[in-house]
This record gives sequence, C-alpha cells and structure tokens, in this order.
Amino acid sequence: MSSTKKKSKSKAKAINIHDLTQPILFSDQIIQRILSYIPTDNQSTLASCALVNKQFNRIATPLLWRWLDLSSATSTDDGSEDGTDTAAPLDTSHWTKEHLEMVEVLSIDTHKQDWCSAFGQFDMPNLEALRLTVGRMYGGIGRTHSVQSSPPSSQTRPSSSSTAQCSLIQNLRPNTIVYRETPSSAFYLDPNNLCPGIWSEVETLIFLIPPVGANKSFVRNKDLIKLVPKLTKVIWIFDPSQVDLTSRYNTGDYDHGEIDFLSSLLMKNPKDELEEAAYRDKQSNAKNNEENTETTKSDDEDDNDDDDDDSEYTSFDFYSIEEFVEKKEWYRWFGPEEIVRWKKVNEEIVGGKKKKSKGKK
Amino acid sequence: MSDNKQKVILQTSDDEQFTVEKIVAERSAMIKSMMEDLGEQEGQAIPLPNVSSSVLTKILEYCDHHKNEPLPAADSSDADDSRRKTSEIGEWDARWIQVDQEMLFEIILAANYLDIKPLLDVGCKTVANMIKGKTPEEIRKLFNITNDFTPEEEEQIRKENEWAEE
Repeated sequence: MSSTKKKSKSKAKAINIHDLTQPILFSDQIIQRILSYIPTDNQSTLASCALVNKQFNRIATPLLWRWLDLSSATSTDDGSEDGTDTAAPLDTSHWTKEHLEMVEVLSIDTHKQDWCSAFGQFDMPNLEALRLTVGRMYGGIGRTHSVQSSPPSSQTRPSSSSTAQCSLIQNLRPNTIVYRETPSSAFYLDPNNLCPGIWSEVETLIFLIPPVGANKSFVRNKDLIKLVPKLTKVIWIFDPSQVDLTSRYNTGDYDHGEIDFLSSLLMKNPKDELEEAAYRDKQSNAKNNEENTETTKSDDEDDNDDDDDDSEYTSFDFYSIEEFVEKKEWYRWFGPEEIVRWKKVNEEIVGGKKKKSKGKK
Repeated sequence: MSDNKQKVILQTSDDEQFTVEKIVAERSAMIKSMMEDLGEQEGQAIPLPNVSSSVLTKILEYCDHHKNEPLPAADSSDADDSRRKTSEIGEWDARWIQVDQEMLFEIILAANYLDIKPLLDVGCKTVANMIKGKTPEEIRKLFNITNDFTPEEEEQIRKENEWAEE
C-alpha cells in the first residue's frame, strides 16, 4: 500500500492543489464514479473515504466491504519465527448485518487456532468468493479446522477441541474458492480438513501457485464429488511472481519432478503439462493429445464419457498466467494491484521467450 | 462527410458564443440530442447555462482531439462496472487534464452536465488518483468540505472498518 501512496503523489503533482474558497459539492453519482476508480484492493483509501463525511461514507462503505480483506488481519506471518506473536485477534464486534451483506469477496489468511472462536460466527449471504491464503502449515484455516463429517449447520458442538471449526468461515457458502499458497507453505488442501460445510455451493475452485502433487490428489479424491457436489470447474493459475524455485528446491520441500514441472510452467502454457499430471496413471485411457493446442477448454471429459474410470473427474480448465490476464471476467476474484503485478511478470516471461526464440533463429 | 462540416453555436453561462463543428459538439450526448430536437433551425445558439466560457474552451479542446473516435454506445452500462475499471489515463488526456483544482472540478461538473462520458471518466480517474493514500482530513481539504460526523459516529466507523487500515 505504501507504494500506492508514492505513485499517487507523483501523479497528483500534476494538479496544483491549493485551498479552495468554495466547497466542492458533487452529487452522489459523481462521488460514486470517482470512488469506483479506487482499486478494490486499496482498502485503506476507501476506509479513509468512509470517514470524510456522511456522503462519502454512504458511497465508500459498500465499495469497501464488497472486498473484505482480512488477510493481513488474520495472518500469523508477522515475521516472528515461531508464531508466538502477541497480536490480538481482530475485533469483529462492531460489524453489522448490513456490512456482512455487502461482502462479495472475503480474503483470509491462516490464523491462530484460538482466534477462530474469538471472531464470532458470520453469515455473508452475498459472498461470491472465498480467498484462502495459507501462510504457515500450522495455521488456522487448515487442519486445525477439521471436523468429523457432522453437518456444519447443526447446533451440535464439535466432538473435541481439536476439531473445532473456524467460526469465521464455517457458515459461509461461497460459489468460488480461490486457494493460494505462499512459497513457504507446505499445507495440502484436503476438504476433510477444512470446514466441510463451506464446500456445499462451490462451483469453481481456483488454485494459485499449486504444489502440484498435493492438489492433484485433492482433485482426484474419490470423495470430492460428495464433498463438493456442485464443482464444475477447477482452474489452476500459475503465478510465477510468487515462486522462488531455487529456494524451494534447497529447502527440500519439493522433489525434482515438481521443480521440473513448475519450471516448465514458467515457460509455456501449462495445459498439456497439467493434463498429463492429472491423468498420469490413466495413460492407457488417454487419447492421443493434439500437440500444443491453444484451446483453453478441456474436452477430454466429454469424449471419455463412456469410460467409468474418468467419471470421478470434474472438468479441468488450465490457464497460464498469460491467458489469465486476458480474461477480464475473472478479475472480480482478484485485486487490480495483483493483476498489475501478474501482467508485469507475464510481460517479462513473454519478452524473455521472444528473445530466446529470436536468438535461436 | 459534408455533414460533419456543419457548424453549431453554443452559448455559455457568461453569454459567450462558440461556433464549433458539429462533429466536435456531438461528443456531448446532451448537445447531440438537443441538436436533434432543434432540427434544421440554422443559426440558433444552444444555451449551456451551466458551463462558463473558460471551461467550455478547455472542454472543446478535448472534444476536438477526440472527434474522430467512435462515440460510446448510449446503452453502455456505466453503472456498476467499477470492479473491472482501471484508473489508467491516456497520455494526451493526462497532459490535457493538468489544470488547477477548480478547473478540474468544473470540468467534471460540466462533463456530467454535457454528458461526455469518456471525459467524465478522465476527470474522475484524476480525482481518484489524487485521493489515493490520503487521510480523511486531506480528502476533506481537497474538496474543501467539512466533517459532519459527531466524534462518536466517527469512532464507530473507525471500529467497523478497523480491518482495512494499513
């Protein structure tokens, strides 16, 4: 956020700001238009706007709450190595029903287990997407939220303290889950380990920076259809800006195959690679794949409908970062600043590729 | 093509008359529909009681520069598409909008009144960029507006939105 500050200052310089003799009274419509150009993920500016006066507050509040980003408020990654930081859990006692109805995208990070109960329970009826970031393997979103398959709606208490659900997310019913792992994490997503209730309405599952092996097994989980009955789309988006392959390799978190695999994603459309990974043990059934098709939809499922072994798979879509930044309809799940960063990375990759192929010629 | 050479007279709030090419004036959806209403009444000035001559001069510069671009579709819903908008401004526009604060705000008001959507967006983006990273007090100062919250109300909002603070 601090970088935004700098940028805006240099831009604002062009306009000579001075004290006005008359107040500028814009209509709600114009203020709305102005504030609509504050990037969704520039929450601190929207929060400032909400404090300006009643008119600004009326307009800024829905824009602010539409994108409820608790990732830093819930993060345990504050730099302290052992996670024993003394930060207090976020105070949610002032949130109203009206606020929660505004939320369309919620971002949370892993958090301390004892925070879960402190948050209180929330309903966000208009929630579209839940963005989970896993910063540490022992964080709160993951295994500490597991619960034996009791229906989350029931009032029964969890059978033991180790299976408590995170009160913050257990009542949420997103259509989309965006699952992001930070390079340092080695948590494996497992629907059994994450509030089962939140999966009931999920149609789209997006993996960012996937630890391939683990998430592959997630998608292949035989229980997946039961746990995520409405799932129709699994999207992998590879965000190379977040991956330091060499450091991952050196810490021994990843095996050779995975490093090779991630490296190859950096260089080309991951579709073929991922398809191969997803169907590796089904190769006898695999059709002859057209080499390097530029299509984004995987039609294989339709063709293999008669094949019982494949029926457990839902439809996979694989996108490279290059394809992704062109897909404007997905931008609602991501912040503009995030996308700007990806675009830069993409340009570097594409630029690098071009240079390479030119050199060859 | 000869149609484009047609002129139209615009009269500002300070009673100045501007004779401009039709294609330039048509950037304003408001003027365009007024011309259609007036029909062929040659030589009749279109009154713009909400626009001063200095602001109109500036705005005509913009309209002239963009006169050959396609007009935005009338039905293009500008309403709630906010989430996909970028706050980038074209190079020429960014240079053109380097005016003082009063002029900037007057351009926005006039663009709104004249219904020149792309110009309204340039103005609003510029103000949005000025707001970014500012404190509530700095924003009030920018618009010269006062805080109408009680200290209690202010405290309440602060607590509600605590999560969003840096």
